[in-house]
Amino acid sequence: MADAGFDMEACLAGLRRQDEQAAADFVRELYPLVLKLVRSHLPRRSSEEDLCQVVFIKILSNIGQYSGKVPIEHWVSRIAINTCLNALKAESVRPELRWSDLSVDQAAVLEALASNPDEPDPSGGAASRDLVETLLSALNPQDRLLITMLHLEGHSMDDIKQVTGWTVATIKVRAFRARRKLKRIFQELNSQDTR
Amino acid sequence: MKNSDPSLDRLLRAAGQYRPAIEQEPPFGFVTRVVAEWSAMAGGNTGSGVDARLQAMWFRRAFLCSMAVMAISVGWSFKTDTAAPNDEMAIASYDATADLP
Repeated sequence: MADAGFDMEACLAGLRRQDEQAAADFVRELYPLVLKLVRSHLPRRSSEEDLCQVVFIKILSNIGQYSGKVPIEHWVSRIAINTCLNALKAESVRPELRWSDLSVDQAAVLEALASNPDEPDPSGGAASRDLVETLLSALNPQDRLLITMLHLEGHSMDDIKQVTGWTVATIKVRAFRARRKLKRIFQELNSQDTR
Repeated sequence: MKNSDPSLDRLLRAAGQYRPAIEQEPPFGFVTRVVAEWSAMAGGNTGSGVDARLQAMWFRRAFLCSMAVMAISVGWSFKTDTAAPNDEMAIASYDATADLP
């Protein structure tokens, strides 16, 4: 989020004049937001730093198209998400997940879920997140984006609508199908464990 | 069709509660790289714009020159076409007078 003491309007005016100092300030200010989005939607074989750089170059190159009708964070988020989606689409191979591909921590979380009806240990949140991201890598980019935004980041339908440009009906239908696919992948993985 | 699995829901809840730490500062050299690439692109765009304008100017001049050459050649051929009968008449008159005893 933009720092309260940071004058974004002046910074944007500087960017339109090709002011390099304004560009540097802009990148520093919005880096945490872009990093968070890139990290949430990062293709497996991509470097998050490289993708952040691509996102910022796109933002700076197209700053003339920013009309100011929406907050700059929304506009930046949309560019970041679209860049990540394109990178995910380029990574056309969707791996078929096998139990043997899971790390020790991921396998432990899966076993704990099967054996213990309680919530997984919160201290294993990182492993749970890691496991979910591995499961998500088997989905297509749009499904992956929806599950991440809805279930991992807790965004509302309106937030997703703002960032993706999809209608609420489209989001609901896609989310339903994405959950169904994720459930199938999860059950296939669990059935390998019980064999 | 039931679209949820209790184990999967628990896994998603646990994963959603985890908030990975996000670095607030870009890595060393990141800002410089971004700004340098942006400046290079901006400079490159300006250069290609100049090239495009230069090419358009040359194309326009070449077109105007070719049109002028075409107009001159059309005018010249028209003039020679219209002048030919008079010349033929002159030659015929000369021949006629030359043949007279």
